[in-house]
Amino acid sequence: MIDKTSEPLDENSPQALILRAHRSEAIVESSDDAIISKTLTGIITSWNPAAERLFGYTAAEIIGRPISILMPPERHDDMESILNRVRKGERVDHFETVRISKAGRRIAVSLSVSPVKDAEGRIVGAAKIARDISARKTAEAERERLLLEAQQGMRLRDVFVSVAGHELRTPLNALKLQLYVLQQSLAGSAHAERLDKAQREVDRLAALTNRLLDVARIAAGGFTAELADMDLVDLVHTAVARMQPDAAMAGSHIAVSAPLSLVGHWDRAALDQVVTNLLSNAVKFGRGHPIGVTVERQTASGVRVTVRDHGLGVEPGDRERIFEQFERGVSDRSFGGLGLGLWIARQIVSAHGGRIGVADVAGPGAEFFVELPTGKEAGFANSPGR
Amino acid sequence: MRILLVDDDGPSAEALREILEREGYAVTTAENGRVALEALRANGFSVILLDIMMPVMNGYEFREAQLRDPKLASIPVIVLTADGKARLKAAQLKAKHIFQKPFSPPELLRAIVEYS
Repeated sequence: MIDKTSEPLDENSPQALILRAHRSEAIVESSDDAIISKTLTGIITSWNPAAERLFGYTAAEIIGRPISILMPPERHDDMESILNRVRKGERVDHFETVRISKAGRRIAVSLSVSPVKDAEGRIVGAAKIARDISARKTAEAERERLLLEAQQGMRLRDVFVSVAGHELRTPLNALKLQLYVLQQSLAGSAHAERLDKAQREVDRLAALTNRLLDVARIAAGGFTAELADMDLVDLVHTAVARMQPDAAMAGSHIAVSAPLSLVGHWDRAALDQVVTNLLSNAVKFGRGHPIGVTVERQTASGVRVTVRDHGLGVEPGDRERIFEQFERGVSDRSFGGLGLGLWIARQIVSAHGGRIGVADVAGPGAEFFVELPTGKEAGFANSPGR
Repeated sequence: MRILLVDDDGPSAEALREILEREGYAVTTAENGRVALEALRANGFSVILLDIMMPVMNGYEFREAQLRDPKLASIPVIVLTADGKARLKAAQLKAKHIFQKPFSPPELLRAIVEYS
C-alpha cells in the first residue's frame, strides 16, 4: 500500500522501486489474463494464477519446463517466429492462436509478447499475456453461421419471388392477349366498353402483383439499386403520359415543368416506380384538381422532383407515418391501396442516397418531394446490383 | 412478313398468333428454343418474339445458338418475358426490345414495325 508521507518519494529510491515492484506483482497476481515469462530459449520462469486457471498447470508444476508443452504440434513454428521477433526487441501484439491445457483441451488465445530486459538493457526473456478468446471465437463462428443462414434465406426468397412473379404474370399475359382478341372482334359493339374495363383490371392486377413482389423482395433483404446513366426528365414525361388517362378520368390534368434533360446515375425502373406511385397518389387524393410536377437541378450534384396536388393534403403529424409499411394517409376504405406505395418509394430513394418527404406548402393539397444525388459522387450509396 | 413466336404458354401464344395474323403477319409458333431453332433454319423470318423461361431449351440457350450461326445471327429478337428482372436481361440477350408480361399488344406491334 502507498504510504503517504509528507516527503514525496524519489522515484528511483529503493523504497519507490520496492513499492512499484509490489504493485506490479499485485497486478500480475490479480490479472484475469494469463501472464507468463520465459527465457529466450522458451523455458517458463513465472506463471500467475490466471495462467493456472487457463492452462490447468500450477506454477510449481510448470516453472522450469519449456513453453512448447502448451502448444499443439502444428503450432510449434509459432513459438520460433515469436521468439525471433522478441530477440530483436519487437513486441508481438494480439497474435491469435491455439494452446493446449493440461487436460488436453484446445483453447483459442490471443497472445501479446514483449521482450524483458535486464538492468543493462539486454534482452533476457519474454513476458507473455495470454487471453482466452474461446467465447469470442464461438460467437464469431455463430455470427458467421447466422450470416450464412440469412444469405441462404435471401437466395431462397429471391428464387421464390422470381418464380412467383413468373407464375403470376404468365396467366395475366394470356388473359390480356385473349381480351385484346375479343376487343378487336367486338369493336364498336355494346360489349366493347366492358372489355376496356376488363383490360384495365388486368393492368391493375399486374401492377399489384409487381408491387407485392417488390415488397417481398424489399422487406426481407432491402432494395439494391441497379444503376445506369439515365435521363430523369424523360422518365418523368413517360410516367406522366402513362398516368394522364387515369388523371383525366379523375377530372385532373398533370402539368410538367422541367428542363430539357437531367442525366444521372440511377435505377430507371425503380425511379419510375417512385414517380408513378407519387402520381397515382396525386390522382387518387387530388381528383378533380390540377396536378403539377416539377423536375429541377437543385445543386451541382443533386436534383429535386416534386409532385403537387390540390386534394386532401397530409396533416403535419402524418408526414412521417405515411412512409411506413401498411400505413395510409386516410383510415377509411374510401380510397383503395395496400399502404405500400410510399414505403416502397422511400426504400428506393434511400438506396439512391436521396430523401423523400412531404413539403410545407401553402393552400390545400400536398407536395411530395424527392431529392436525389446525381450519382457517382461520394455519399452515393449502393453499387450495381445482384 | 414472317414472325417466329417462341413461347411455351399455349393460351398466350394462341392469342398473340391471332393478333399478329390479323395484322397480316405470317406466324410460326414454337414451344421451346430447340423447336424454334429448327424452324429458324427451315424458314426466313423477319423477327423473333422470344420468351425466356421455357423447358428443353430456354431463351438464353436459344439466343446463344442463334448468335453462333452466322446465317441466323442477324434476325432481330424482341423478348417477351414474365420475369421480374426483365430489363436487366435485355443487354445480356442482345435483344432489340424487352417487354414484361403482361404487355400491351399495340406497343408490341409498334416494336415489330420498328425493329423488323
